[in-house]
Amino acid sequence: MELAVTLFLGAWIFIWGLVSYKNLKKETAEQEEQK
Amino acid sequence: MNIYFIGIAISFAIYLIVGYFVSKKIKNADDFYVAGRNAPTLLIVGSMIASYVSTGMFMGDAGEYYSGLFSPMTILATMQVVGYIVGAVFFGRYLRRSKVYTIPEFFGKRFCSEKVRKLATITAIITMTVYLLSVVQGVGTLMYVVTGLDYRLCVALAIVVFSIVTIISGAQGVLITDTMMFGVFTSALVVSVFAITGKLGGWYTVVDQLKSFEIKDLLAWSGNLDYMYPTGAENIVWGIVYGIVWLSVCMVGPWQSSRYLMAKNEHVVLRSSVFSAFGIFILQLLVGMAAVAVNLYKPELESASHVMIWASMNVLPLFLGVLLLTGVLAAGISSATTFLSLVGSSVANDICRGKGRPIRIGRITMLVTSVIVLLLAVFNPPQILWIMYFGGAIVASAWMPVALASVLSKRITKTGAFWGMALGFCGCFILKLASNTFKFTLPAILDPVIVGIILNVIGIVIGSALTQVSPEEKEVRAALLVVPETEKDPNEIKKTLQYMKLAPWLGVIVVLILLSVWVIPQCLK
Repeated sequence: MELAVTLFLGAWIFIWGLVSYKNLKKETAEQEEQK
Repeated sequence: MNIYFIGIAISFAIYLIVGYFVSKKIKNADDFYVAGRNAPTLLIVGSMIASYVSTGMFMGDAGEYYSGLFSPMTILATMQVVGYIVGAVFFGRYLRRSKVYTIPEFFGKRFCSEKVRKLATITAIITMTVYLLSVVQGVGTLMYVVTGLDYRLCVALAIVVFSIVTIISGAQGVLITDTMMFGVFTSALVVSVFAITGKLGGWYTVVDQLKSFEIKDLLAWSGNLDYMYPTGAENIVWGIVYGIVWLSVCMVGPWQSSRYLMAKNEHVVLRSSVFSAFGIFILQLLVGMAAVAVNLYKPELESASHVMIWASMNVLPLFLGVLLLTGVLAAGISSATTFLSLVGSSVANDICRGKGRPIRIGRITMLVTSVIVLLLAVFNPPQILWIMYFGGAIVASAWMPVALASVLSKRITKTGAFWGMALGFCGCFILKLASNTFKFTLPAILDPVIVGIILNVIGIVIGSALTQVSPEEKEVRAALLVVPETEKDPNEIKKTLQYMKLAPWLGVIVVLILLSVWVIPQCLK
């Protein structure tokens, strides 16, 4: 169970980190297009 | 006068001297309230972490780890750090962009509503005063335990020191002293963990010995079942619920997101979020490791929240003990300076706007708040963890959904924002007060914060469905989404994206760290 808890926590940070990074990247790409 | 008192007195003197020199540089309200909006990443990270880490963590949280909630507290502490990253990307940089002095001002401006601004101000002042009280009680207790001086004198001494620093130097001084204090408590904690576990043969030996310890399951996933909830599942749910609560606090809490108002630019906001997230995870884990190890020295401390104080005075070598206690005190004082400066800022900029010189009003407010907190701290018994969780709960319930919707939603109206905030605040406040007054425990899943957040969303949905978004509100939101020209430097953008690329990888790093310090040693027979 300790392993399950750890993997859950890792996945939690990974997913939200990815969502945040992708959002920024998308925004940057849109800015480039506007130029 | 003992050696610990001398250590504390020296640290107080240093903070006062730094505050004095910084005060010489204060020229206008921008310097006083938002540090000239010019702070680099290091100062923002230092202040974010120092404002988060208070006696609440070194005493309240440490007590929970010591009592057997290592697993639920680790869940809480790890889930919450996402709040920094998500908060910076979806709220913090827009807050910085709006060039306001306070977060209530942001809400008022975004929804073109004085009513929303006033409500946000009231919730902010209540939360920060309550939190300030918790920190002051923690600092007072710490000083009382280690110096043997009268508790009331200790509280008064601490309040005088942090009030002078804050009143004379404002946000500028708070940023610098916070970062100094961050350095003090981080280095003290790192060395202390090695010393506390090292005397027992190292961390892995500690884990081994705890497996056959008289108190069961201190490091098991379920936590100690004789402490809070009787089942492991309930303890886990508690960790997840409070993980979400503190995630909200890290995301939009005034003492966290207000640091973004002081950042040099939006790149600093984003970069500092990754460092703050990792820093808080490590510090919480270290506090947990140190506190749980103390069980092997002293299994039945009279007051669990004194665990780090006891370790400083009885386990660590003298110099290190003084350093750790000074570090814990620094953590408390750094949070107190932030709360006090935010209360002053809220009153000067949101309540008394245009009614006099803002710096003067802010300073008078800080003085009055200090006196009120002094009286409350002296006449109320210390309840550090409860009060701290109360403050965090209010912010999560009243602000989090509205803050996110203010950026992400086209359909939220001023009425929706007002009712969301009001229902979230009242729902959480009343339920939390009732459960503590009448001593009943709600199931973890029905925690007042969860009820408050749900009511907040209901308020937003119904309030926004019954009204229309005004043209002014549309205009403000559209302007908020436009990236300023000053933020478009291609080199800076590239650098920021590289930092943000680390955000998902933090998940992998966290897994590796938890595997090596918790899962593998705990599961090996």
